[in-house]
Amino acid sequence: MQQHQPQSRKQLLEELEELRYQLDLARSRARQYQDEYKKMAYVVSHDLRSPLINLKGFSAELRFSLAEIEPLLERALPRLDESERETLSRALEADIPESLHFIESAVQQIDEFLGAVLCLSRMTRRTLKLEPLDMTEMVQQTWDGLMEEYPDRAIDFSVDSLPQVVADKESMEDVWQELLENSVLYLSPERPGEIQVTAERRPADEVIAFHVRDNGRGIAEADMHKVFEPFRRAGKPTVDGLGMGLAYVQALARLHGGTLECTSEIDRGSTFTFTIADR
Amino acid sequence: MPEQMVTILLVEDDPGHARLIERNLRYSNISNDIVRLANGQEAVDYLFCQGKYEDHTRPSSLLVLLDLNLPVLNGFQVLQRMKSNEETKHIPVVMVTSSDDSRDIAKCYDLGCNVFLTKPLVDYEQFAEAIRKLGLFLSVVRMPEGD
Repeated sequence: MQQHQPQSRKQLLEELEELRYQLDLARSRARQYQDEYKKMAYVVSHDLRSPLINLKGFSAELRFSLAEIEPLLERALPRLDESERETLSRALEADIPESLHFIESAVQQIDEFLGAVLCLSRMTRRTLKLEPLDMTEMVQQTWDGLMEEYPDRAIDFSVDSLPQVVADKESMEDVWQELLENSVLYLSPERPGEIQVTAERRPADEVIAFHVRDNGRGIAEADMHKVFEPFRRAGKPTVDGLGMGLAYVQALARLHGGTLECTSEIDRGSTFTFTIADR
Repeated sequence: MPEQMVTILLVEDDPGHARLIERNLRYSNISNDIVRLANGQEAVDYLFCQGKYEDHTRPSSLLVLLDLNLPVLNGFQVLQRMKSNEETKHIPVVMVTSSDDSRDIAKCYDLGCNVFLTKPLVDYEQFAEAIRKLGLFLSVVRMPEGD
Protein backbone atom coordinates (compact mmCIF):
# COMPACT_ATOMS: atom_id res chain seq x y z
CA MET A 1 0.00 0.00 0.00
CA GLN A 2 2.76 2.35 1.07
CA GLN A 3 4.68 1.52 -2.05
CA HIS A 4 1.69 1.67 -4.32
CA GLN A 5 0.48 5.12 -3.30
CA PRO A 6 3.32 7.31 -4.58
CA GLN A 7 3.07 5.51 -7.89
CA SER A 8 -0.66 6.09 -8.05
CA ARG A 9 -0.22 9.75 -7.15
CA LYS A 10 2.33 10.03 -9.90
CA GLN A 11 -0.07 8.40 -12.30
CA LEU A 12 -2.83 10.74 -11.20
CA LEU A 13 -0.59 13.73 -11.70
CA GLU A 14 0.31 12.51 -15.15
CA GLU A 15 -3.32 11.98 -15.95
CA LEU A 16 -4.14 15.45 -14.66
CA GLU A 17 -1.36 16.88 -16.77
CA GLU A 18 -2.72 15.06 -19.82
CA LEU A 19 -6.25 16.32 -19.13
CA ARG A 20 -4.95 19.87 -18.76
CA TYR A 21 -3.19 19.53 -22.06
CA GLN A 22 -6.36 18.22 -23.73
CA LEU A 23 -8.38 21.08 -22.22
CA ASP A 24 -5.92 23.68 -23.49
CA LEU A 25 -6.00 22.07 -26.90
CA ALA A 26 -9.82 22.06 -26.97
CA ARG A 27 -9.90 25.69 -25.84
CA SER A 28 -7.48 26.81 -28.49
CA ARG A 29 -9.44 24.89 -31.14
CA ALA A 30 -12.68 26.49 -29.95
CA ARG A 31 -11.06 29.93 -30.19
CA GLN A 32 -9.82 29.10 -33.66
CA TYR A 33 -13.28 27.98 -34.83
CA GLN A 34 -14.81 31.07 -33.30
CA ASP A 35 -12.31 33.32 -35.08
CA GLU A 36 -12.93 31.53 -38.36
CA TYR A 37 -16.68 31.85 -37.91
CA LYS A 38 -16.40 35.58 -37.21
CA LYS A 39 -14.15 36.06 -40.20
CA MET A 40 -16.49 34.11 -42.45
CA ALA A 41 -19.55 36.06 -41.31
CA TYR A 42 -17.70 39.25 -42.13
CA VAL A 43 -16.42 38.12 -45.52
CA VAL A 44 -19.77 36.67 -46.59
CA SER A 45 -21.78 39.71 -45.59
CA HIS A 46 -19.24 42.09 -47.05
CA ASP A 47 -18.48 40.33 -50.32
CA LEU A 48 -22.10 39.51 -51.15
CA ARG A 49 -22.85 43.22 -51.31
CA SER A 50 -20.80 43.51 -54.47
CA PRO A 51 -23.12 41.50 -56.76
CA LEU A 52 -26.09 43.14 -55.05
CA ILE A 53 -24.83 46.56 -56.07
CA ASN A 54 -24.91 45.31 -59.66
CA LEU A 55 -28.47 44.01 -59.31
CA LYS A 56 -29.63 47.27 -57.82
CA GLY A 57 -27.61 49.46 -60.17
CA PHE A 58 -28.60 47.74 -63.38
CA SER A 59 -32.27 47.65 -62.31
CA ALA A 60 -32.04 51.42 -61.98
CA GLU A 61 -30.34 51.53 -65.38
CA LEU A 62 -33.23 49.53 -66.89
CA ARG A 63 -35.70 52.04 -65.47
CA PHE A 64 -33.64 54.80 -66.96
CA SER A 65 -33.64 53.12 -70.38
CA LEU A 66 -37.41 52.62 -70.14
CA ALA A 67 -37.85 56.31 -69.53
CA GLU A 68 -35.72 57.00 -72.59
CA ILE A 69 -37.78 54.67 -74.79
CA GLU A 70 -41.13 56.06 -73.71
CA PRO A 71 -41.30 59.25 -75.83
CA LEU A 72 -40.06 57.32 -78.89
CA LEU A 73 -42.84 54.82 -78.44
CA GLU A 74 -45.48 57.50 -78.24
CA ARG A 75 -44.53 58.32 -81.80
CA ALA A 76 -44.32 54.72 -82.99
CA LEU A 77 -47.56 53.45 -81.44
CA PRO A 78 -49.99 54.89 -84.02
CA ARG A 79 -48.23 52.83 -86.69
CA LEU A 80 -49.03 49.54 -84.92
CA ASP A 81 -52.29 47.63 -85.01
CA GLU A 82 -54.38 47.30 -81.87
CA SER A 83 -53.13 43.90 -80.70
CA GLU A 84 -49.49 44.95 -81.21
CA ARG A 85 -50.15 48.11 -79.25
CA GLU A 86 -51.65 46.08 -76.43
CA THR A 87 -48.70 43.68 -76.27
CA LEU A 88 -46.22 46.51 -76.23
CA SER A 89 -48.10 48.52 -73.62
CA ARG A 90 -48.48 45.51 -71.35
CA ALA A 91 -44.79 44.71 -71.54
CA LEU A 92 -43.59 48.26 -71.04
CA GLU A 93 -46.13 49.60 -68.61
CA ALA A 94 -47.02 46.56 -66.53
CA ASP A 95 -44.73 43.55 -66.87
CA ILE A 96 -41.31 45.17 -66.96
CA PRO A 97 -41.99 47.61 -64.07
CA GLU A 98 -43.47 44.76 -62.02
CA SER A 99 -40.43 42.55 -62.64
CA LEU A 100 -38.14 45.42 -61.68
CA HIS A 101 -40.13 46.00 -58.55
CA PHE A 102 -39.71 42.38 -57.43
CA ILE A 103 -35.99 42.41 -58.20
CA GLU A 104 -35.51 45.63 -56.26
CA SER A 105 -37.45 44.54 -53.20
CA ALA A 106 -35.56 41.22 -53.14
CA VAL A 107 -32.29 43.15 -53.27
CA GLN A 108 -33.43 45.30 -50.39
CA GLN A 109 -34.35 42.27 -48.29
CA ILE A 110 -30.98 40.63 -48.88
CA ASP A 111 -29.27 43.93 -48.16
CA GLU A 112 -31.02 44.28 -44.81
CA PHE A 113 -30.15 40.70 -43.96
CA LEU A 114 -26.48 41.15 -44.86
CA GLY A 115 -26.40 44.46 -43.03
CA ALA A 116 -27.57 42.70 -39.87
CA VAL A 117 -24.98 39.91 -40.23
CA LEU A 118 -22.28 42.51 -40.81
CA CYS A 119 -23.44 44.46 -37.77
CA LEU A 120 -23.36 41.33 -35.56
CA SER A 121 -19.95 40.43 -36.91
CA ARG A 122 -18.63 43.92 -36.19
CA MET A 123 -20.00 43.73 -32.65
CA THR A 124 -18.17 40.49 -31.93
CA ARG A 125 -14.95 42.15 -33.14
CA ARG A 126 -15.48 45.47 -31.42
CA THR A 127 -12.51 46.88 -29.50
CA LEU A 128 -13.74 47.81 -26.03
CA LYS A 129 -12.82 51.16 -24.53
CA LEU A 130 -13.32 50.54 -20.84
CA GLU A 131 -14.28 53.49 -18.66
CA PRO A 132 -16.30 54.14 -15.49
CA LEU A 133 -19.97 54.58 -16.38
CA ASP A 134 -22.99 55.81 -14.46
CA MET A 135 -25.52 53.18 -15.47
CA THR A 136 -28.50 54.83 -13.72
CA GLU A 137 -28.03 57.97 -15.76
CA MET A 138 -27.46 55.99 -18.95
CA VAL A 139 -30.65 53.94 -18.48
CA GLN A 140 -32.71 57.05 -17.75
CA GLN A 141 -31.33 58.86 -20.81
CA THR A 142 -31.94 55.85 -23.05
CA TRP A 143 -35.49 55.61 -21.73
CA ASP A 144 -36.16 59.33 -22.30
CA GLY A 145 -34.86 59.01 -25.87
CA LEU A 146 -36.99 55.94 -26.45
CA MET A 147 -40.15 57.67 -25.20
CA GLU A 148 -39.59 60.43 -27.74
CA GLU A 149 -39.91 57.69 -30.39
CA TYR A 150 -43.04 56.22 -28.77
CA PRO A 151 -44.79 59.30 -27.34
CA ASP A 152 -48.24 57.71 -27.20
CA ARG A 153 -47.24 54.89 -24.82
CA ALA A 154 -48.11 55.40 -21.18
CA ILE A 155 -45.72 53.12 -19.32
CA ASP A 156 -44.92 52.98 -15.63
CA PHE A 157 -41.12 52.96 -15.75
CA SER A 158 -38.73 52.78 -12.82
CA VAL A 159 -35.00 52.43 -12.48
CA ASP A 160 -33.22 51.59 -9.22
CA SER A 161 -29.95 53.16 -8.22
CA LEU A 162 -27.63 50.97 -10.30
CA PRO A 163 -23.99 50.17 -9.50
CA GLN A 164 -21.23 52.07 -11.28
CA VAL A 165 -19.48 49.89 -13.83
CA VAL A 166 -16.31 49.90 -15.87
CA ALA A 167 -17.36 49.03 -19.42
CA ASP A 168 -17.45 50.19 -23.04
CA LYS A 169 -19.84 53.15 -23.31
CA GLU A 170 -21.03 52.53 -26.87
CA SER A 171 -21.71 48.85 -26.13
CA MET A 172 -23.66 49.60 -22.96
CA GLU A 173 -25.75 52.22 -24.77
CA ASP A 174 -26.54 49.63 -27.46
CA VAL A 175 -27.47 47.06 -24.81
CA TRP A 176 -29.90 49.39 -23.01
CA GLN A 177 -31.41 50.61 -26.24
CA GLU A 178 -32.11 47.04 -27.39
CA LEU A 179 -33.36 45.71 -24.06
CA LEU A 180 -35.61 48.66 -23.24
CA GLU A 181 -37.04 48.91 -26.75
CA ASN A 182 -37.63 45.18 -26.74
CA SER A 183 -39.63 45.49 -23.49
CA VAL A 184 -41.69 48.35 -24.87
CA LEU A 185 -42.47 46.56 -28.13
CA TYR A 186 -43.58 43.36 -26.43
CA LEU A 187 -45.84 44.91 -23.79
CA SER A 188 -49.36 43.55 -23.66
CA PRO A 189 -52.13 45.69 -25.15
CA GLU A 190 -54.43 44.29 -22.45
CA ARG A 191 -52.92 46.04 -19.38
CA PRO A 192 -50.97 49.20 -18.55
CA GLY A 193 -47.29 48.61 -19.17
CA GLU A 194 -44.76 48.35 -16.34
CA ILE A 195 -41.01 48.15 -16.81
CA GLN A 196 -38.42 48.03 -14.01
CA VAL A 197 -34.66 48.09 -14.17
CA THR A 198 -32.75 46.69 -11.18
CA ALA A 199 -29.27 45.33 -10.55
CA GLU A 200 -27.08 43.53 -8.05
CA ARG A 201 -23.47 42.59 -7.61
CA ARG A 202 -22.73 38.85 -7.61
CA PRO A 203 -19.36 38.62 -5.88
CA ALA A 204 -19.18 34.83 -6.13
CA ASP A 205 -19.23 35.05 -9.95
CA GLU A 206 -17.37 38.39 -10.05
CA VAL A 207 -20.11 39.93 -12.19
CA ILE A 208 -22.74 42.64 -11.96
CA ALA A 209 -26.22 41.53 -13.04
CA PHE A 210 -28.77 43.92 -14.53
CA HIS A 211 -32.45 43.02 -14.89
CA VAL A 212 -35.11 44.49 -17.15
CA ARG A 213 -38.50 43.24 -15.99
CA ASP A 214 -41.75 43.86 -17.85
CA ASN A 215 -45.38 42.78 -17.48
CA GLY A 216 -45.70 42.18 -21.23
CA ARG A 217 -46.80 39.29 -23.38
CA GLY A 218 -44.15 36.90 -22.14
CA ILE A 219 -42.56 34.05 -24.05
CA ALA A 220 -43.80 30.46 -24.23
CA GLU A 221 -41.37 27.88 -22.90
CA ALA A 222 -41.19 26.20 -26.32
CA ASP A 223 -40.12 29.47 -27.96
CA MET A 224 -37.50 30.38 -25.40
CA HIS A 225 -34.53 28.98 -27.36
CA LYS A 226 -35.35 31.19 -30.35
CA VAL A 227 -35.09 34.41 -28.41
CA PHE A 228 -31.31 34.88 -28.61
CA GLU A 229 -30.80 33.38 -32.05
CA PRO A 230 -30.08 35.74 -34.93
CA PHE A 231 -33.05 36.31 -37.27
CA ARG A 232 -35.48 34.47 -35.00
CA ARG A 233 -38.20 35.77 -32.80
CA ALA A 234 -40.59 34.20 -30.40
CA GLY A 235 -44.36 34.22 -30.87
CA LYS A 236 -46.29 35.95 -33.61
CA PRO A 237 -44.36 38.28 -35.91
CA THR A 238 -46.14 41.45 -34.77
CA VAL A 239 -43.05 43.61 -34.47
CA ASP A 240 -41.09 44.97 -37.43
CA GLY A 241 -37.41 44.27 -37.78
CA LEU A 242 -35.14 41.34 -38.31
CA GLY A 243 -35.15 39.83 -34.84
CA MET A 244 -31.49 40.65 -34.26
CA GLY A 245 -31.68 42.85 -31.14
CA LEU A 246 -31.12 40.19 -28.50
CA ALA A 247 -28.42 38.48 -30.56
CA TYR A 248 -26.58 41.84 -30.50
CA VAL A 249 -27.05 42.16 -26.72
CA GLN A 250 -25.79 38.63 -26.18
CA ALA A 251 -22.68 39.32 -28.29
CA LEU A 252 -21.95 42.51 -26.33
CA ALA A 253 -22.54 40.86 -22.93
CA ARG A 254 -20.11 38.08 -23.89
CA LEU A 255 -17.52 40.64 -24.98
CA HIS A 256 -17.80 42.06 -21.45
CA GLY A 257 -17.27 38.66 -19.83
CA GLY A 258 -20.96 38.17 -19.11
CA THR A 259 -24.11 36.48 -20.35
CA LEU A 260 -27.68 37.25 -21.33
CA GLU A 261 -30.52 35.22 -19.85
CA CYS A 262 -34.26 35.37 -19.81
CA THR A 263 -37.03 34.07 -17.59
CA SER A 264 -40.59 34.47 -18.72
CA GLU A 265 -44.17 33.46 -18.23
CA ILE A 266 -46.66 33.71 -21.04
CA ASP A 267 -49.14 36.58 -20.50
CA ARG A 268 -47.35 37.64 -17.30
CA GLY A 269 -44.12 39.17 -18.57
CA SER A 270 -40.39 38.60 -19.01
CA THR A 271 -37.20 39.42 -17.18
CA PHE A 272 -34.00 39.82 -19.19
CA THR A 273 -30.82 39.59 -17.16
CA PHE A 274 -27.46 40.53 -18.56
CA THR A 275 -24.23 40.33 -16.64
CA ILE A 276 -20.85 41.92 -17.18
CA ALA A 277 -17.53 41.34 -15.43
CA ASP A 278 -17.24 43.37 -12.20
CA ARG A 279 -13.99 45.23 -12.89
CA MET B 1 -0.57 75.34 -74.83
CA PRO B 2 -3.97 73.69 -75.30
CA GLU B 3 -5.84 72.93 -72.11
CA GLN B 4 -5.44 69.31 -71.21
CA MET B 5 -8.62 67.40 -70.36
CA VAL B 6 -8.43 65.25 -67.25
CA THR B 7 -8.08 61.54 -67.90
CA ILE B 8 -10.08 59.41 -65.51
CA LEU B 9 -8.35 56.30 -64.27
CA LEU B 10 -11.00 53.93 -62.95
CA VAL B 11 -9.53 51.08 -60.90
CA GLU B 12 -12.34 48.60 -60.27
CA ASP B 13 -12.27 44.82 -60.43
CA ASP B 14 -16.02 44.26 -60.73
CA PRO B 15 -16.97 44.78 -64.38
CA GLY B 16 -20.57 45.63 -63.43
CA HIS B 17 -19.56 48.33 -60.97
CA ALA B 18 -17.09 49.75 -63.46
CA ARG B 19 -19.77 49.92 -66.13
CA LEU B 20 -22.27 51.60 -63.77
CA ILE B 21 -19.73 54.25 -62.85
CA GLU B 22 -18.74 54.78 -66.48
CA ARG B 23 -22.36 55.07 -67.62
CA ASN B 24 -23.19 57.62 -64.96
CA LEU B 25 -20.11 59.66 -65.79
CA ARG B 26 -21.15 59.62 -69.44
CA TYR B 27 -24.69 60.74 -68.61
CA SER B 28 -23.23 64.07 -67.61
CA ASN B 29 -21.98 64.34 -71.20
CA ILE B 30 -18.32 64.33 -70.41
CA SER B 31 -15.94 63.36 -73.15
CA ASN B 32 -12.90 62.73 -70.96
CA ASP B 33 -10.90 59.59 -71.61
CA ILE B 34 -11.74 56.86 -69.13
CA VAL B 35 -9.10 54.20 -68.59
CA ARG B 36 -10.35 51.16 -66.72
CA LEU B 37 -8.01 48.80 -64.89
CA ALA B 38 -9.08 45.76 -62.93
CA ASN B 39 -6.37 45.31 -60.31
CA GLY B 40 -4.12 47.34 -58.04
CA GLN B 41 -0.84 46.19 -59.55
CA GLU B 42 -1.93 47.25 -63.02
CA ALA B 43 -2.90 50.66 -61.61
CA VAL B 44 0.55 51.08 -60.05
CA ASP B 45 2.21 49.96 -63.30
CA TYR B 46 0.10 52.46 -65.24
CA LEU B 47 0.81 55.30 -62.82
CA PHE B 48 4.55 54.68 -62.66
CA CYS B 49 4.95 53.65 -66.32
CA GLN B 50 6.41 50.28 -65.49
CA GLY B 51 5.74 46.64 -66.39
CA LYS B 52 3.50 46.44 -69.42
CA TYR B 53 3.08 50.24 -69.34
CA GLU B 54 6.83 50.82 -69.59
CA ASP B 55 6.53 52.57 -72.95
CA HIS B 56 3.50 54.61 -72.12
CA THR B 57 3.48 58.22 -70.98
CA ARG B 58 1.30 59.10 -68.04
CA PRO B 59 -1.38 61.64 -69.03
CA SER B 60 -0.39 65.02 -67.62
CA SER B 61 -3.72 65.49 -65.93
CA LEU B 62 -5.23 62.53 -64.13
CA LEU B 63 -7.93 61.75 -61.63
CA VAL B 64 -8.14 58.33 -60.00
CA LEU B 65 -11.34 56.59 -58.97
CA LEU B 66 -10.09 53.79 -56.75
CA ASP B 67 -11.85 50.75 -55.28
CA LEU B 68 -10.55 49.22 -52.03
CA ASN B 69 -10.99 45.49 -52.52
CA LEU B 70 -8.78 44.83 -55.49
CA PRO B 71 -6.77 41.80 -56.55
CA VAL B 72 -2.94 41.67 -56.33
CA LEU B 73 -2.54 45.08 -54.64
CA ASN B 74 -5.51 46.49 -52.76
CA GLY B 75 -6.73 50.08 -52.82
CA PHE B 76 -4.84 51.02 -49.62
CA GLN B 77 -1.57 49.85 -51.16
CA VAL B 78 -2.16 51.74 -54.40
CA LEU B 79 -3.10 54.89 -52.49
CA GLN B 80 -0.09 54.58 -50.19
CA ARG B 81 2.31 54.25 -53.15
CA MET B 82 0.75 57.17 -54.99
CA LYS B 83 0.75 59.55 -52.06
CA SER B 84 4.30 58.73 -50.94
CA ASN B 85 5.78 59.44 -54.36
CA GLU B 86 6.68 62.98 -55.47
CA GLU B 87 5.53 62.34 -59.04
CA THR B 88 2.08 61.05 -58.21
CA LYS B 89 1.17 62.56 -54.84
CA HIS B 90 -0.63 65.55 -56.42
CA ILE B 91 -3.04 63.33 -58.40
CA PRO B 92 -6.50 63.55 -56.85
CA VAL B 93 -7.88 60.23 -55.64
CA VAL B 94 -11.56 59.52 -55.08
CA MET B 95 -12.15 56.25 -53.23
CA VAL B 96 -15.26 54.51 -54.59
CA THR B 97 -15.94 51.41 -52.56
CA SER B 98 -18.70 49.28 -51.08
CA SER B 99 -17.09 49.53 -47.63
CA ASP B 100 -18.64 51.88 -45.11
CA ASP B 101 -16.40 50.72 -42.28
CA SER B 102 -15.27 53.77 -40.31
CA ARG B 103 -11.76 52.31 -39.95
CA ASP B 104 -11.43 51.99 -43.74
CA ILE B 105 -12.62 55.57 -44.21
CA ALA B 106 -10.18 56.93 -41.60
CA LYS B 107 -7.30 54.91 -43.06
CA CYS B 108 -7.91 56.23 -46.58
CA TYR B 109 -7.96 59.86 -45.43
CA ASP B 110 -4.82 59.21 -43.37
CA LEU B 111 -3.11 57.89 -46.48
CA GLY B 112 -4.12 61.03 -48.36
CA CYS B 113 -7.23 60.25 -50.39
CA ASN B 114 -9.20 63.36 -51.39
CA VAL B 115 -12.73 62.03 -51.16
CA PHE B 116 -14.28 58.76 -49.96
CA LEU B 117 -17.52 57.63 -51.65
CA THR B 118 -19.52 54.58 -50.58
CA LYS B 119 -21.37 52.57 -53.22
CA PRO B 120 -24.69 52.28 -51.47
CA LEU B 121 -27.41 49.78 -52.15
CA VAL B 122 -30.51 51.47 -50.94
CA ASP B 123 -29.64 54.92 -52.23
CA TYR B 124 -28.30 53.88 -55.60
CA GLU B 125 -30.00 56.90 -57.19
CA GLN B 126 -28.11 59.20 -54.88
CA PHE B 127 -24.84 57.53 -55.74
CA ALA B 128 -25.58 57.74 -59.48
CA GLU B 129 -26.38 61.41 -59.03
CA ALA B 130 -23.09 61.97 -57.19
CA ILE B 131 -21.13 60.26 -59.98
CA ARG B 132 -22.94 62.33 -62.62
CA LYS B 133 -22.12 65.48 -60.69
CA LEU B 134 -18.54 64.32 -60.39
CA GLY B 135 -18.53 64.06 -64.19
CA LEU B 136 -19.95 67.55 -64.50
CA PHE B 137 -17.38 68.82 -62.04
CA LEU B 138 -14.61 67.17 -64.04
CA SER B 139 -15.63 68.98 -67.20
CA VAL B 140 -14.56 72.27 -65.63
CA VAL B 141 -11.93 71.24 -63.10
CA ARG B 142 -8.27 72.11 -63.66
CA MET B 143 -5.41 70.30 -62.08
CA PRO B 144 -1.68 70.89 -61.72
CA GLU B 145 0.19 69.62 -64.74
CA GLY B 146 2.38 66.58 -64.10
CA ASP B 147 6.03 66.26 -65.18
